[in-house]
Amino acid sequence: GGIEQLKAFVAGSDSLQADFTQQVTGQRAANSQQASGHVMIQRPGKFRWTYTKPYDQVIVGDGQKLWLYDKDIEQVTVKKLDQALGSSPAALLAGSNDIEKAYVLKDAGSKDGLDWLDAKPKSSESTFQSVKMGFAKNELVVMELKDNFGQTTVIRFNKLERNPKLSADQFKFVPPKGVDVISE
Amino acid sequence: CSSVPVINGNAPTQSSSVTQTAFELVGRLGVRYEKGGQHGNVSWRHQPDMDEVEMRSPLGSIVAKLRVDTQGAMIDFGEGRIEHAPDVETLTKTLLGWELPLTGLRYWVFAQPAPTSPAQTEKDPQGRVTQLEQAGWVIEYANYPDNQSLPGKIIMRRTPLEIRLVVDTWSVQHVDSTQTRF
Repeated sequence: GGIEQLKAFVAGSDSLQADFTQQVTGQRAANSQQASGHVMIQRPGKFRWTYTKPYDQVIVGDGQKLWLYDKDIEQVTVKKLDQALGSSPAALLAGSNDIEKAYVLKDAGSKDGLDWLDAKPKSSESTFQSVKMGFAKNELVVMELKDNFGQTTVIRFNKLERNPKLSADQFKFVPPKGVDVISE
Repeated sequence: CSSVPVINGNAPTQSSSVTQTAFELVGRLGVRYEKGGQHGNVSWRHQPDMDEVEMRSPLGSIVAKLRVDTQGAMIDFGEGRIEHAPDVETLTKTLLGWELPLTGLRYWVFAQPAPTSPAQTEKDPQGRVTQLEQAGWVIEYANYPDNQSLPGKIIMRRTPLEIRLVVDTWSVQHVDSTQTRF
């Protein structure tokens, strides 16, 4: 089932990288935003979540802190990593057992050729009401994150590569010159 | 270089006042305030007598919905958690820790001063406003697309607060009050 595949997925990849697309459903606004980019993960706790479309945004977890850099805003906001779950699913994936710590997991059967699990956040503070994860052959294919307004963000991973060699400085964030860095 | 906005519809000129304009703006907001920083994707729908602002995480999930009309201001964090205040400035100051000057911003986003108090503006050779000072705020404008007069980037400063707004898409309609039917 989903939980078994999640455990195999986490156990089987100390590091991973993939392209992703992101689509928000249930969006009233005229342009339900399509976004896409690339994710790199180095367990435990390190990740780089890069949006290249519709604009340049990078979210880096260096193991202690979360850096969010928006190129057009020319600003970096720095937060403690434990607040990261709300802003990036990579934080969820990068932890060795963060998922069990922060979420109650339940198998949710199979659908569209994937085995699913349903994760409900333990803390009421979470920005997500529920997270669904769909697996095939022990690999994560889809994540569906439902917010408190009934909007669902669907993230699809493709060209997923397990245990690639990723250099350590991918998971350090060095603010570009002249950019405003704001930490808590 | 940073992006310039996609624009459909055009800016209200000085004569057709902003209050006769309905617009939707989608962009990003970066805030620096005493306690730290906030960043979010934002979509703002303005009608002559009502504003709705949605604040989203990078994932597109809604973090909060703001609504302002003649009766006052309200913020909805989802799951029934709703707070009220007489105006949006007080509401955001108490609940988000920083004041969103939406009343003035309705005009400032069009690089026009609000009609409520005196203001100074500086313009570039093409006559586009590069800076505006009003009500203690200093507002800088950048990233005008070459043929349009709607700015793509707005930086507002009033110590200790700095708010940066990058506009990705504008849609602006002139609302002739006789035409609007309820």
